[in-house]
Amino acid sequence: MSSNPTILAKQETSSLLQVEHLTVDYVSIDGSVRVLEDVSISVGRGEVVGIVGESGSGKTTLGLSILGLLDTPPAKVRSGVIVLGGETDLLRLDEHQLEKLRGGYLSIVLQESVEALNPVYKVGFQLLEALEAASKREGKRFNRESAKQEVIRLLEELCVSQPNLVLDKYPHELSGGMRKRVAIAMAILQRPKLLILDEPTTGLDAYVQSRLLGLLRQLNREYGVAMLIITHDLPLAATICDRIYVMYAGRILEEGDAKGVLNSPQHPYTRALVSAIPQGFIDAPPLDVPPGDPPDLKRLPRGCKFAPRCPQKTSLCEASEPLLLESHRGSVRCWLYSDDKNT
Amino acid sequence: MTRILEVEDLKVHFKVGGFSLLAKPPPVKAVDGVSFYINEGETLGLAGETGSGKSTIAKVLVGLYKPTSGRIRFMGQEIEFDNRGHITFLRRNIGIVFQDPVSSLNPRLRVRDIIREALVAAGVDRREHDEKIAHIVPLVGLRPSSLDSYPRQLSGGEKQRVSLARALVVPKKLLILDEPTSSLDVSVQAQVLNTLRKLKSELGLSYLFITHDLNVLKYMSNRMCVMFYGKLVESGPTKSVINHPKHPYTQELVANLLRKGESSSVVIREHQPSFEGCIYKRICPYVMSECSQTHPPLYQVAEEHSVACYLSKAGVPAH
Ligand SMILES: Nc1ncnc2c1ncn2[C@@H]1O[C@H](COP(=O)(O)OP(=O)(O)OP(=O)(O)O)[C@@H](O)[C@H]1O
Ligand SMILES: Nc1ncnc2c1ncn2[C@@H]1O[C@H](COP(=O)(O)OP(=O)(O)OP(=O)(O)O)[C@@H](O)[C@H]1O
Ligand SMILES: [Mg+2]
Ligand SMILES: [Mg+2]
Repeated sequence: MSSNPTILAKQETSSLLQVEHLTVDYVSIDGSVRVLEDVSISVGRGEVVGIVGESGSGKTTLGLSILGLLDTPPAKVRSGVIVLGGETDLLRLDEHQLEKLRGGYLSIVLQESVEALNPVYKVGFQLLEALEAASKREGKRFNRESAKQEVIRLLEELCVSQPNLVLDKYPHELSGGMRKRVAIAMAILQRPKLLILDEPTTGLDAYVQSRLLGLLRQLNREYGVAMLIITHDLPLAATICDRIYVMYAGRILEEGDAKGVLNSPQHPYTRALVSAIPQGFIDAPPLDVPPGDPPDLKRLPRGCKFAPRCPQKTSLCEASEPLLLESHRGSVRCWLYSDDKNT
Repeated sequence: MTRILEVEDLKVHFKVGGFSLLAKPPPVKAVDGVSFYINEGETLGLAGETGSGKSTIAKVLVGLYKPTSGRIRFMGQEIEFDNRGHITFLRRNIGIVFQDPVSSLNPRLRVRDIIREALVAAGVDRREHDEKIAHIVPLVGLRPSSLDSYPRQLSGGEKQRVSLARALVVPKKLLILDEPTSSLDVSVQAQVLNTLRKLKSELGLSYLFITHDLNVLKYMSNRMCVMFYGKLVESGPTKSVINHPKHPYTQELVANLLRKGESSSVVIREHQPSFEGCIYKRICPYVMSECSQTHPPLYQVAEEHSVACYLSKAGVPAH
């Protein structure tokens, strides 16, 4: 498959993170599947960026590759560069150098929060350990008692009731939502400059969600922490992010200012992402499901990957894949907008 | 209407703090005196704070945790949790989609065999396996090629759809769905919700649907319960509860539902339970002196609609 450079890399000097033309395959004995195709994203200093999209579209793979956490094999980075702070190409670092970066510069809240926690140690021990490492890096003295207070304050901030008791528990003794918040606390305690959160709000009730968003906003404003928030919840992304990328079948279909993407989405897929939100009570009619099957990465159509399900497709869409082009608002990969390019 | 499940005054308390002899903390009252029922062919929605005991109730119902006290009646049978036969009876007739799909899928099996296990357990003829698997997979929005993958080769949302397929390939009388669509984008979620509603009406299934997403709960449930810190604070027909929420906690949830998507300026308040008097006392904007005494019993405010709040004592609407 041809892979033209699609987004013209905007050379923003203020960029903290720049992923360019990243293409990733998963290789196994059953063959190879391309899960990211020529993906370019950037996160500016102090910027909050959202990645939303279809389940299985490659969001987690993208997040993991930024931290060098992809298992290779089965993953294979075919091409691309990941530039952090304008100089380091993360894809060329060895494990030791990456480990150092992951400590101080970057931290991630994994989608499966179970994986962030070691099942055999109590939660408190693990959180304190993270904080101790952070203090060491910053050359600060580490005082166990005041560290414990800091951990407790952070958990309270995240609405964990009786944090003292929670510290004394093993991960399996926590409810789903508590485990998630402990994983979030763990990432925050590492005091990163760029925080990647993969589905940070799944399993949290509306109150805790809004509280978490408040805390993230505060981290962003007061400490300038930049964030990459991966979520399938577009309205939620729009409340916290400055800018949003929409993914489908390993590609970016749309990019733009958060409010704009939510309120006046350009790509038909982005529109489908808003219109299928359940409305009404049990007697309401069935929900609108885009026709056709979710894309099969092993058998993707030749043209636009969304075309088989798109209500507005034309023969052009089936014949060739549109590029991700700048439009009057952000960028979009859709033939419907291809004329905008010249205006 | 016949009740397929009745739960009465269920308590599940966990010991914490393990081995220290001094200053043993009190047990965690994960579920503390909860009663509800599910009618045959009905969906009961269960919402509530994180950590309020929803998954614990689910695990009791499939025999993974033993209740500290309380009574459970399922399909007319009083369940004794020390009786192996009763536990088998529960598991044979109650299916579950766990909140955490990862740890519930055997990492050594391909997806096809994970789903097949449910068919084997239900004694379905081998010759029907492939057809049944091929039938359910698109209904939960999974692509057929995922059948040959191992769980670790799937995304979070794909794993969630595998647990759904496993639970739905041989539908049981009662299905517990613990946050079944939490990792799905809305279009896949729509597919799954449509399928669940269709199977329910075609096969007369009953669901216990646990979710934080009130839009989903509203769309899926006939009746609903709201929990806060181990207690049931409100229950009733979903329309009645959503349109006329009486408990201050439910009111907050419903208000959040309406606000979602707006760039909200977040209201920050303490969300700590109170261990004396009403569990909601420390948060409640309407506290009265009565609230300091005991946790309120359930007061009926409309048909089938009851609320654990002194404000509703005389059927007086809280506002
Ligand atoms: N180890 C692997 N081997 C083969 N394919 C894989 C592997 N891991 C993931 N995939 C596939 O890559 C695609 C992208 O997965 P990824 O986890 O990045 O999706 P996602 O966008 O995070 O989805 P979700 O919203 O469901 O979490 C999926 O189709 C998945 O099946
Ligand atoms: N095995 C266990 N040992 C000790 N405590 C437990 C155990 N399982 C659950 N708990 C505690 O019981 C309480 C209720 O947990 P539960 O998982 O039922 O909550 P939930 O309502 O499902 O929450 P969420 O919405 O976050 O999934 C929590 O305080 C939790 O820490
Ligand atoms: Mg993911
Ligand atoms: Mg739970």
